[in-house]
Amino acid sequence: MGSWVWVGFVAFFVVALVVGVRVLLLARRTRELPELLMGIGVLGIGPVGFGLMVVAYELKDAPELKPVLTACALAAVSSGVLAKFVFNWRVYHPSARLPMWVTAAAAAALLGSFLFSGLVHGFTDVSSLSPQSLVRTALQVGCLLWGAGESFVYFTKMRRRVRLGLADPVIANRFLMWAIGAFAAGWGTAVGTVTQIVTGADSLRSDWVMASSSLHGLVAAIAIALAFIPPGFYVRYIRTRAQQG
Amino acid sequence: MADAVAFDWICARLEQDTSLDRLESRGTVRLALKAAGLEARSVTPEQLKVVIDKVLAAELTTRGIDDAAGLCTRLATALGNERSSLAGNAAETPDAVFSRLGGS
Repeated sequence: MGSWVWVGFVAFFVVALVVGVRVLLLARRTRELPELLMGIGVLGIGPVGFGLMVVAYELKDAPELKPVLTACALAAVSSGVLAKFVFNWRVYHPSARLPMWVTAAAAAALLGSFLFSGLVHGFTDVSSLSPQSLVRTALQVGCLLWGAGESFVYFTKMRRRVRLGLADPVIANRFLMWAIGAFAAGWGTAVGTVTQIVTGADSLRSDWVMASSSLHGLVAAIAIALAFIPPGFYVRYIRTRAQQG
Repeated sequence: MADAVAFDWICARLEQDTSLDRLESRGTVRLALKAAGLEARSVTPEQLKVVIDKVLAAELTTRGIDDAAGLCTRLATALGNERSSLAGNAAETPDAVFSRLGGS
């Protein structure tokens, strides 16, 4: 399989990096929790966590650095996943008990998974099919699909408001794009992991897993870019379409 | 989470001005809010004004309320007079968060 398979990964890496940094800078200005959580979530799961994981995996020349990079990668991914759980709870259901308990359980499982990787394996086991890794991946998929579902449900409400002139169509579209982006990222991770479980193939050595993950990454990158850094022509298109009903 | 002050206000007015009882008036307003994509816990007086103007009359007519359009006009006027006292406990909504996230 050619180098084109990296297009989706690179697109996702760049978009997540830009959006994550931008949102964290926004959080520094506004001092609001949702911005901080979104920034940590996007950067932690995407460029920092995934990026460090790939570097640790491919590192051949300095094996002593592998555990350090793996620990940093796992810490970043775990922080990102937890941030998304907290975001889903605090933004969509701030006073509900079930999302709070789900988030607390996720935090405990992520901490357990991280400690297990460190204490038992010394952060040397980078296999994505180890039990602690599967727990973390399941939580990553869970927080992304939960967020996608919440965002899509809210989009349907916003669409009704737009028809009555009660909401900005660009913000309504932001919910839809975030739903698509989070779903693509979560679903792509799920497909890749299940394929590995079934076939036993190594994710970074399997062409089909790589192609699937790259395609989902590309969809996620486009949707997240349209959600948070939409180009002018796209904003004009959304507003024009809303005016036409 | 508690319902917004504006929601409680419109329900009380409907109960007072129509034959609807407490449960019916709250259910009617909830349906009108749902049709507008809004929620009882976070609706603002400004949003409620639009719901009264564009959605509520049809819901009241469906429930056999006479002169629903006239009633809605009176409710909108009363809401305008009390708007400042009704803007209170509305929680931060996801749309406010997503509005900030886009830098708008």
